[in-house]
Amino acid sequence: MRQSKNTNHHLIIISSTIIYVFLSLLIAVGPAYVMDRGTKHLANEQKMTTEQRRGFEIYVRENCAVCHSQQVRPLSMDSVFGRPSQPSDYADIRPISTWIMTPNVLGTARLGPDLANVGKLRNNEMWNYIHLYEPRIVVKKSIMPSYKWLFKSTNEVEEAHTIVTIPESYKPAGEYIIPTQEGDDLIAYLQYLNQASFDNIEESGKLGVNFTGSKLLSAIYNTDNITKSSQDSISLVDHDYSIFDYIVVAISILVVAVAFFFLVRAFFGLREEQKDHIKSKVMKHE
Amino acid sequence: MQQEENIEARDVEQKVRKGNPFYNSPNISRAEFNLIKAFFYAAALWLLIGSLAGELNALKFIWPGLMDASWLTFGRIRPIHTNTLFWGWSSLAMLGLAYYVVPSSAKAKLYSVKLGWITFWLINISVIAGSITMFFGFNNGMGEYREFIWPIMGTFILALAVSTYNFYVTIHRREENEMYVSNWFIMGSLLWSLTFMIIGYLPFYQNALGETVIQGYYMHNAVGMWFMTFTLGLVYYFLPKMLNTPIYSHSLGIVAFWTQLLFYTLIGTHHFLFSPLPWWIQAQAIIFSVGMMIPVVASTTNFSLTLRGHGKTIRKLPGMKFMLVGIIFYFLGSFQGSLQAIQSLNIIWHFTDFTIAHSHMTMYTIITFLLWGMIYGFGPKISGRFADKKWVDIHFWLAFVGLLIYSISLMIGGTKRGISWLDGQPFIDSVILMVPYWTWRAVGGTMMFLSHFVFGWNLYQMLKSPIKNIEYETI
Repeated sequence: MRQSKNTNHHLIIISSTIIYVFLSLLIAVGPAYVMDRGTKHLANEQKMTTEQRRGFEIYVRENCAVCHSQQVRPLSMDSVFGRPSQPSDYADIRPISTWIMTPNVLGTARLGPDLANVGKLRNNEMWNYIHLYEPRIVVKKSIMPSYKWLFKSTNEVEEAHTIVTIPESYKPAGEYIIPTQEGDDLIAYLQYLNQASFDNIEESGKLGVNFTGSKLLSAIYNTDNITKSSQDSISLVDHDYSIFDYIVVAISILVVAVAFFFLVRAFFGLREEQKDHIKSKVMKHE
Repeated sequence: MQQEENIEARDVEQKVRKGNPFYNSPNISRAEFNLIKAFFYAAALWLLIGSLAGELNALKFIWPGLMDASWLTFGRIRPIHTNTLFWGWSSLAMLGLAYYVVPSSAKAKLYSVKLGWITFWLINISVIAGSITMFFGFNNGMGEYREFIWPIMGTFILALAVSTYNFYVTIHRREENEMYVSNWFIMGSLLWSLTFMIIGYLPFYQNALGETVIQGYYMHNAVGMWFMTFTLGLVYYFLPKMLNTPIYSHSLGIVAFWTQLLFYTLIGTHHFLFSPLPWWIQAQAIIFSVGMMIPVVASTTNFSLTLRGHGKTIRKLPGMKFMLVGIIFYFLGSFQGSLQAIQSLNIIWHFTDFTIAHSHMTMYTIITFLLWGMIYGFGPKISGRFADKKWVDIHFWLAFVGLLIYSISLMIGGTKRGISWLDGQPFIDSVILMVPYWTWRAVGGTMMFLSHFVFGWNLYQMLKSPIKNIEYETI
């Protein structure tokens, strides 16, 4: 009986899984750990209040990130949304509860505009209430859903209530539209989204990234480099790459080249393999 | 006239069946037939539910006020669309096929049908629970494809673990000395997927931007390691069987296996280029995204060379058209993905609907088309009934033309939108310019949605009851 390398299924299955786990630790868990432990607030950054925190939970519940990013890229086309985002902007983002993990606020789509700095860009509270109740009252061509369940209509108004100025055609006649607690919370969260300025960088430390983990991890992932890339984001020019960046790029290109070599070798071996195929078939028949 | 066509169709079936020993006997027991049938039926049901949600989403772009109740709002329906199609339709269809492929290519008996049923129920329970919780807005924190909260995804992970164990024992008890490349891919896919799912849900390193690193990794590994790797394993089995020819090259398959493992794992961060993540992790993701073409070229070459000279079977055998399109788009869609990871193109396309076009050209035209092709090719083997070729063709053309309308319109619209942002035009202008493209997307999407009913009907015709003289194996 012919023995081949393929025979040992334990070897193939387990070795490939060990490689997979190793690569995952290297590329996902390791860097994630560094970003988790190493990210600090800027000194002048505001912390979320309880109300804003509840609003953030509504933001997650309604899955706003499906359409709205909170990530300004260091590109001139993004400058309308604010200054480039950097790690400290996300330092406050933690798991919502035992059931809901750290939300992904960065997003991958901009069906609507970026919200990283929306508290500064849209600071009129009444505009926000109207827009949330029915976006097309204030932005005619908007495709955003209306969030009417964050409001209620009533004919008894107390002094504490905010009455949202909704045109008659958009609400039950004679009634007033007031936000529910959830509506108030969500607006509070949106108003909280203000990018902290870089005015006192020196006092703030290195832009919010201050790695406090083990020295070994620090060496592997070169946290100085994280800081540098954030600084790049601000200047928008002159990337100041470290030797570590060059090494990673060199290794990556080398790996691709080696894999390409194996592909080419397999191509050159194709004809031989076909001959073997035919031979083994003939032998089987005999 | 009608009768003549029927006779001709039957002749084709006869010829295909006689010429191809694959269709001689089902090679499974009646119990396994029932299990596989359940997997396919449930998968088809999730396909209809998931694409109904997708259809509603597409219409909301044209009429934003449509069905604006809280539980039907875009933010809640959109993850229901993606998750039911991921974990409901594709996963169940893939596992259903694997419950035949793994024992068959190892020339061994399936270890346990009962464990198969446990997998079946656990997956269905998790997708039902996940959909219901998301109607109430109870999602896991907006990360794409990670919207099921951990107890629900835990159920899904458990289901995969049960199947992994079932397959592992089956392979362990095989008579065949060599392990066919299909089982490399399938076992790899299962074990790697268990790994990335657990890593994706462990909370210990996911505060602040740690979450974003994991999100990129998880998102890419979900499509690359679970759906793509698993489906490739199935294609390496079914394509040669349906054509009645050996796979062109075993060694190209093995190059594809190892390079798949190497490159797909490392490129998750290309979903977050120009983000505040460290520069090196973005740079390597871009380089390996180009390297990702190596497993793609290895597999597509292999499949093309296997297909060479079988034009007649492609035309005659129901389902082969799906395989052909799936293989072509495996190359095109992956190539497109690599281009999107290049910085200069990413600037234009990132955040636009181009991404949505890409995800449909891959998850739909690669994964779903290949799964359909294999189900159409495999169904007759276990039940003795071919689906009516005319209706398979209607399914194919509806889905394919629909997909082309869908993705081409979004690609044009997405590019124009990116250029509009680059020009610094007001944001709302880029919304207005998208309206015709969103409309065309809804047209294409509706065709795709309708084709799924045809698929459901065809599947029912194939599997409703096996023909009388079919011989199942006895245990």
